[in-house]
Amino acid sequence: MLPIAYFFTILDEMRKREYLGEFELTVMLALLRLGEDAYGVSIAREIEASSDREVAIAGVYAALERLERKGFVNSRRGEPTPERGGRAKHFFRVTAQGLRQVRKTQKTLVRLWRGLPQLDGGEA
Amino acid sequence: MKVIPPTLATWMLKHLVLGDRNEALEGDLLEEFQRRRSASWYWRQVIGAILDHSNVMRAGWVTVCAVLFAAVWVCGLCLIVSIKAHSPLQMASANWIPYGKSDWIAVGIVFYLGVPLSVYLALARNLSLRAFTIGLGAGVLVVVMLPFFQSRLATPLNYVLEYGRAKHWSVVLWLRGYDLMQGCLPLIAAAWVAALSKIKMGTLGPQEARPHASEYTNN
Repeated sequence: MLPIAYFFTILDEMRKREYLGEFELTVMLALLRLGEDAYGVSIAREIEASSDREVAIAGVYAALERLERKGFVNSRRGEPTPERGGRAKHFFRVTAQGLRQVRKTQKTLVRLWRGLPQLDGGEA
Repeated sequence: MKVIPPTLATWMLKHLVLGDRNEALEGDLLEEFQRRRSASWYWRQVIGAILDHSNVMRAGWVTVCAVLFAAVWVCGLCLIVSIKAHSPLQMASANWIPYGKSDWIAVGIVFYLGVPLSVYLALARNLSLRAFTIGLGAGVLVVVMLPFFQSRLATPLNYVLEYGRAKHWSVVLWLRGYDLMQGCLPLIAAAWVAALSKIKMGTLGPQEARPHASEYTNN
């Protein structure tokens, strides 16, 4: 049996993976749609509007942190505003490397989707 | 009109969610709460943030071990108190008096939730292990000394404590606030000494020590 320290090391290594997970890809696409005005709330709203499900804002930040660590997005701190209790927004933007990764993922998914009889006709 | 989100949820958000984006997250939740005005939505978001796996990962294996340790500690106390409460010696004693349960349930809840929470708060913030050990030692010392003073001093406090020792077969462990206090005191003391030492010494927790995430991309 592995010692507990190895377990956390394995989880750390898993976080370093370079490919995009499903939610990470969703966040990246929302960022691309929003452009310069992408921050926690607007990203969550964008995803909610297209997926019809409630999104945890903390989950969005967790995904953004992972993406930032991989170099796929970068961030800047906005000005504090009174309606947010004096707290600043953090704006996010997709980097060139991030855009390349989204294109790569798109290509992979499109190739996999092609020619699947189960997905033809739109009926599940 | 400005609507204020649930105070307890906000406190939990501030203290139980780790990371360098807390300011932005708090602001986002407040902004969205003003729009949606739903306390249940706010609670769902806060609990989601606390239970998010990246939040647990930030706390690290030391915290996970500490919380497990605290849980085992409390379960052990439950077992010990249960055995004591059901022993023939206690059942036959004059102290076998049924008492009002609601107060003791409240005490029990405070200790059952308070101990793991205190340990979590102390270690999740990467506090001084030295201060934690000193606090633990002091707590153990107090617990060891307490019965010595109790047996010699017939004070009103002693009366209250003795009353608290009364037992009834149906009174489960939740109601044994006094015994729990004795058992949990070292851990609570350790957590709070460590927390106070951090404030005094101005040591850096993981939130402050970790570089801002944007630095990764700038390099």
